[in-house]
Amino acid sequence: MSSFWIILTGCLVASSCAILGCYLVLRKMSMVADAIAHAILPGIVIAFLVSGSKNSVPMLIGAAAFGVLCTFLIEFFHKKVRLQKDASIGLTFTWLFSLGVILISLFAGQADLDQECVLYGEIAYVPFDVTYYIGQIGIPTPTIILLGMLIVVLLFVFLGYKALFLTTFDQEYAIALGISTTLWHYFLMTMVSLTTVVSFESVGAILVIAFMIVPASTAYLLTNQLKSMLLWAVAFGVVASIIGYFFAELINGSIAAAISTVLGFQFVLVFLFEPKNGVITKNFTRKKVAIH
Amino acid sequence: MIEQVNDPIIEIHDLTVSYDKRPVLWNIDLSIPQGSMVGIIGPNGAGKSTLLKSIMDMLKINNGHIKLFDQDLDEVRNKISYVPQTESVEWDFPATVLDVVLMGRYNTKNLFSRISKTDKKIALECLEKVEMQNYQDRQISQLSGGQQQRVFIARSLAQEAELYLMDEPFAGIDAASEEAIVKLLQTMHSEGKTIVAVHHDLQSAPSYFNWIILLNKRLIASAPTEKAFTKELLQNTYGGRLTLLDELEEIVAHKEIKFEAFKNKA
Amino acid sequence: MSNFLDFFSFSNANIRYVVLGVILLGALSALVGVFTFLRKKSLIGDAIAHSVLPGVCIGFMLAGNKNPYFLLGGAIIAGWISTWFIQLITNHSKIKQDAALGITLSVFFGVGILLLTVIQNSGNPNQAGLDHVIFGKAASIGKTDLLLFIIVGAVIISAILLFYRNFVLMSFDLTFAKSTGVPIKAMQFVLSTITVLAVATGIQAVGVILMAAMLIIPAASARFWSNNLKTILLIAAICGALAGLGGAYVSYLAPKMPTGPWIIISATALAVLSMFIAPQRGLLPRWIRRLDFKKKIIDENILKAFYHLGEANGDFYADINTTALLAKRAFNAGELAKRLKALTRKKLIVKHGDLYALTETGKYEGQRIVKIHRLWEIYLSKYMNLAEDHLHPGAEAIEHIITPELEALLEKELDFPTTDPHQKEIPYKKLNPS
Repeated sequence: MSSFWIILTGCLVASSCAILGCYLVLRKMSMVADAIAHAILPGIVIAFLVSGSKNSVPMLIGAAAFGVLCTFLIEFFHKKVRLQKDASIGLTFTWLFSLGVILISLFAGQADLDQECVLYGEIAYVPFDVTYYIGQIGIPTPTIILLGMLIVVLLFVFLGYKALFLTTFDQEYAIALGISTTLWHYFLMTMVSLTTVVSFESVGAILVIAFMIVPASTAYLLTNQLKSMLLWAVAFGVVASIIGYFFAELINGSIAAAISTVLGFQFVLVFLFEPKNGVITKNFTRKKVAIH
Repeated sequence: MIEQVNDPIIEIHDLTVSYDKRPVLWNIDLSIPQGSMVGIIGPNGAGKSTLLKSIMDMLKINNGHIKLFDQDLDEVRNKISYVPQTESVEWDFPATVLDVVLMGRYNTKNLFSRISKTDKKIALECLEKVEMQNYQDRQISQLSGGQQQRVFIARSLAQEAELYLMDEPFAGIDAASEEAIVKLLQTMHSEGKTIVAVHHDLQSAPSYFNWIILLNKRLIASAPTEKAFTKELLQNTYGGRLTLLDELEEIVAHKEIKFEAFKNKA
Repeated sequence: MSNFLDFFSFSNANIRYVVLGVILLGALSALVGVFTFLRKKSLIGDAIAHSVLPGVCIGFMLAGNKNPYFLLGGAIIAGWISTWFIQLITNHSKIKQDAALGITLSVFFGVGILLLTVIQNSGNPNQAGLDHVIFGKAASIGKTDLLLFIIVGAVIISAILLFYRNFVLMSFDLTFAKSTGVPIKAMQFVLSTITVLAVATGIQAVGVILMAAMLIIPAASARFWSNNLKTILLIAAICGALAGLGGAYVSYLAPKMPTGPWIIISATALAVLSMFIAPQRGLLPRWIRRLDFKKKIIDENILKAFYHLGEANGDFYADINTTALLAKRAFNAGELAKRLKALTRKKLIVKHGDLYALTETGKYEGQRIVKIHRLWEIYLSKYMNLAEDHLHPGAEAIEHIITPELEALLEKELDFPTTDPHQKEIPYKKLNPS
């Protein structure tokens, strides 16, 4: 039974992340998302110390706040201080992450947080964190929260579909129509912060990036339609969660890391063998033509 | 040769604009009559795109103001359509031609609602006008330069605006596409629309436009074609840089001088 | 206090190794980081750093223990493969650079964590401390490590010295470098290699996650101080070394704390300091310059007002009261009072009770500005086709930034005109017979 909850939790994380990841990849914000995922660590620790629990609103607020802070600092260093964009990103997230690690280290006793948790989460412990029951069956709290997160993400993408499409594809046209690209940028980054914090306990702060960027990129290679890209990304995420779980069990390793590995494997497969543009299929068909 | 008009559709008053702390347009003062077909001509880096973007409030204005239909931009946005350069966008984005054209039906009021049947109908009609009705389901990554341009114009038409601002609509496209677009623009012109386009080709400019703006960081001319498109004025426009202006530009950029410092009243 | 002395007296051999180690690593990473920074590819360092983790783990698995050669070798190979992987993705698919970095970084890291957890769960006692590669543990730097660092350091510095000229060209102007026949591909290969080497050794101090910071932050700090590559390299190396030292000291004080974050905090502190106080590009100097410029504008406007009043009255050196000045131009009364005091100090005006008058120097300064203003009006009208009622505000904006060189150019360009568009005389300075 606990396998079921673990896999389900993994799938929920993967789905939320994959959907947001599609927009991140298309907006060329993969590394900014990486930065935010690192930067929210101090927010999580502080919120945790303040509220004493992992499944709390303060955590969400703390994370969102640091996500916004990170986005803001990057812009500050880039525009005001005149530091180049890549260095602004690098500087901001490393120092915020360092702050987070130091806080964890200082308050290790008081907080049920350790460095491993930060890195790759403890999804295996999810089934034991139960506070809600339907009859005899206990539903783990993280799972409920992640289900809620997925619903929020779906609502966000559904309601904001046109705005996201517009601001992702053609910023100039969006501004000309009077639609604020900055606003939607912050919306998206906030969603990334929130998703990272709720996924944090399950998969850790760093691997969450794999869940966002890799299935979305794999889907991007496969399709030319936004809607199917979103679906494929989720599909890859879900499949990787399932396979990853069993793989981890087999070799006795971290589940989140195993899922990331499978995601990578999927990417390589599609990269090489995608029917029209896969690196190997392209060479193969070229050879075929040459023979004739 | 700067001719001012009464009842202009666009009025630009003493406009100075900087890009990245560097002034690119100096004290531009012009007005454009309704229903004209305007070409903005000038060498590279003259600030032509900057002028269009300033009209659309996409850039910070250091000095001066702009009036459209004698009102502020925000009051008349729905009457204006802006067509960016095709290179400002990634064409390997997962979308179909129809998806892009439908964007022309988006506005701040209907942003959260579904696309309606009317929207779709209008989008398809616009595709017909650019002669691409058979391409509605084509992936945009498969389009040629000319086709990309036509899709952008179809999108623009879908807005059903009165004023069209186009940034290099004829850049890098094949002769057939150019012909199709010119024909379309002339039809729009005859329907009373105002079109302002940044144009790079001196050969075709006089036949395409009835009003010419000559720009090279400062305004050299803004008048009906026969008055503006003269050898002397063209030489003035293309004949090398104004050293003084360049030097000034350097000083302003280097010392990071903010033009707000000059809002020093009388 | 005793801790401070204990540490900095370096009497303890272990402390010596650690300190030398972090200083060396900090400096090396900074040097290498300068080149990636200048090419605006800082985040590649981040991807490479995360990617070495699986290499370290495989090295461990092959050696059966934490043999530094195996670990380092594994790190280098993995780092190297990751750069190839990133290139492969961007060159052969529509995936963009940022996503290629993100994919490589997260997947390699994921594989690394997987291997690490497998190793940790395998019960092999030798694996204790292997996870220090993630957050860094400078305290564990020993003699062999130091020797390894020195060897790697020698390789990196040799490469930089050998190909210095090419690196300079490529860092500042790639197209020019290409056109002068610099073998770009080969040089990029060398740069990737030394980056991988720096990362593979540097992670011992700061760990894989924060390694990118050691490539980026010292370079960013140095950039604020200079435009000269040699100076940038020097300052970056110093910042890197200091950051390492700071972190090692904290590691000494609190052995349970991972060193990496403290090194980064030290590096960040230096960077923020640089951002604030560096002479040309620092925020503080820029702000001061801006304030100075604002003062200059008011001063010049005051002198102009004096001059105009003098023109009207026929006497440039007459006493003027503040009311007359305020009537001439809408000054802010408080600012006016302050600047009048400053101008008196600078001997451009003199105070006679409640009244002020121009000195000779002051008169010529006022004259200069008025001259520039009127010349610029001519320029605006002639070359910029500005309407007559726009000439005055246009000139108001520019007169304060025309340098003496530009002034001379302007006079020459307009061929020394005598009147401006409003028929006012242009006051050239009359040469003194002496």
